Amino acid sequence: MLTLSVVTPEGQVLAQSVDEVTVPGLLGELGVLPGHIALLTATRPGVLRYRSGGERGRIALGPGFAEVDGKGAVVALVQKAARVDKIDRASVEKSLAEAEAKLKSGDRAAEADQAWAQAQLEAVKG
Amino acid sequence: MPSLKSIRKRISSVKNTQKITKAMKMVAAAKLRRAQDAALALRPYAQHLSQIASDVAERFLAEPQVEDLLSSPTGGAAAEGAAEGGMDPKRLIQKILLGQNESRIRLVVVSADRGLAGAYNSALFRRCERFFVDQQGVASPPSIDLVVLGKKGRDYFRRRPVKIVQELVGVEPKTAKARAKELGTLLGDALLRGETDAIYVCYNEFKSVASQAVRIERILPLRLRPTVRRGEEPADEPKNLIDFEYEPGRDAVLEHLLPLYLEAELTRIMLEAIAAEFSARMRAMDSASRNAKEMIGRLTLQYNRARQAAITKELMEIIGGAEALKG
Repeated sequence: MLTLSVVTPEGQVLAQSVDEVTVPGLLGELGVLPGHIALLTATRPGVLRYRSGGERGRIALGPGFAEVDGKGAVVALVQKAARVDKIDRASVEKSLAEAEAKLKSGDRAAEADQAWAQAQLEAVKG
Repeated sequence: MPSLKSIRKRISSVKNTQKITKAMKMVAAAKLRRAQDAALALRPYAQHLSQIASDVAERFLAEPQVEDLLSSPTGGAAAEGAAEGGMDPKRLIQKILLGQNESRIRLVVVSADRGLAGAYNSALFRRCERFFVDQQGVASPPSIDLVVLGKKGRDYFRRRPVKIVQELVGVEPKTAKARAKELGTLLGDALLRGETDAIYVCYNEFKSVASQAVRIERILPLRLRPTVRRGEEPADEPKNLIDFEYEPGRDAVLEHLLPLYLEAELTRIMLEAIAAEFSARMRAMDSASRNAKEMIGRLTLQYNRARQAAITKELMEIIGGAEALKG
């Protein structure tokens, strides 16, 4: 068993024991099973997936870090996180469109918004 | 003895003041709740992130090649070039993880924009002054640059013989995160460019509604080399350090960690300071309201005595007059 917690500046989003976690590492998806060695990885905006028994869950993550402590705890420290049931698809699509419009007009700061919106959409789509 | 009218006037003026202090107390209490919630929600994130950062530093210290890295000097043209493009990992490590010597310190003072918060600001300034004195006492006194947050701090330090490199006012719970990011970028850049060797923060820590404590913390570099440790707690007993895998590599992880760590620490500090400010103001206004109540009580007593004295005097006069008429 692994204990997965997802922590953001606004508080803890999830704390649950799970059988398997996949985090969006900077170099690609990274699967963690019980007994994984200690690891510290930077994460990119994307989807964290976990399985607990037969139950599967997804959480959209912003940029941050994931730490596996080697003793069965997995902590994702990210700037933003949203559980898939809390994501409103329509508003995400709207903010994605806004971000893309801003990007086209040369506003590089919108890149983060775009990535976050895409991560949420990905989580909704599954 | 003051006249009845003048006492009445004083009572009503104290009552007005009490109304104001009561209202300010309520406002502070309401704002405190929100600030406190934000500060407490952030704590686990910030603490964990700084734990990770400090673990990375600790592990790095345990590595054998640390001496080679630190003894090879960086600086000069090569370092300048590195600051432009990609970061030279050696330099990054030297700057962020292990301080060499602190000849230039940047002190971030987090004060309030408004007063009427008891000893909130003055305790902070006293602590800063003591820090200046302490730093003068060491073998090679460092130069200290200030980054001042809050109007009160700005007004205070402008009158003092210190160098202020940046001023920031109007930080609120809502804007704290964006402001912290901004400030974090500036401080991180200053450190990497070599304009400063260490970043300290002086702020009021929010412990509970009833207590705050002024703290000075070094947020970067994460560790000082054992030889230049000054006034630090002795090294923790060697922890059981498990070897970590870093993905994608330690230096890249560090480069990611730095801005996030700075942002999280600064946001935490700002939110704590705001929560501490409101709770200090709430208590100051509470005791002001209490004092006003006491004063009204005393003045009312005085007023009643004076009134009674006047009545008695009048009675005496009437009786005296009547006696005289009887002849």
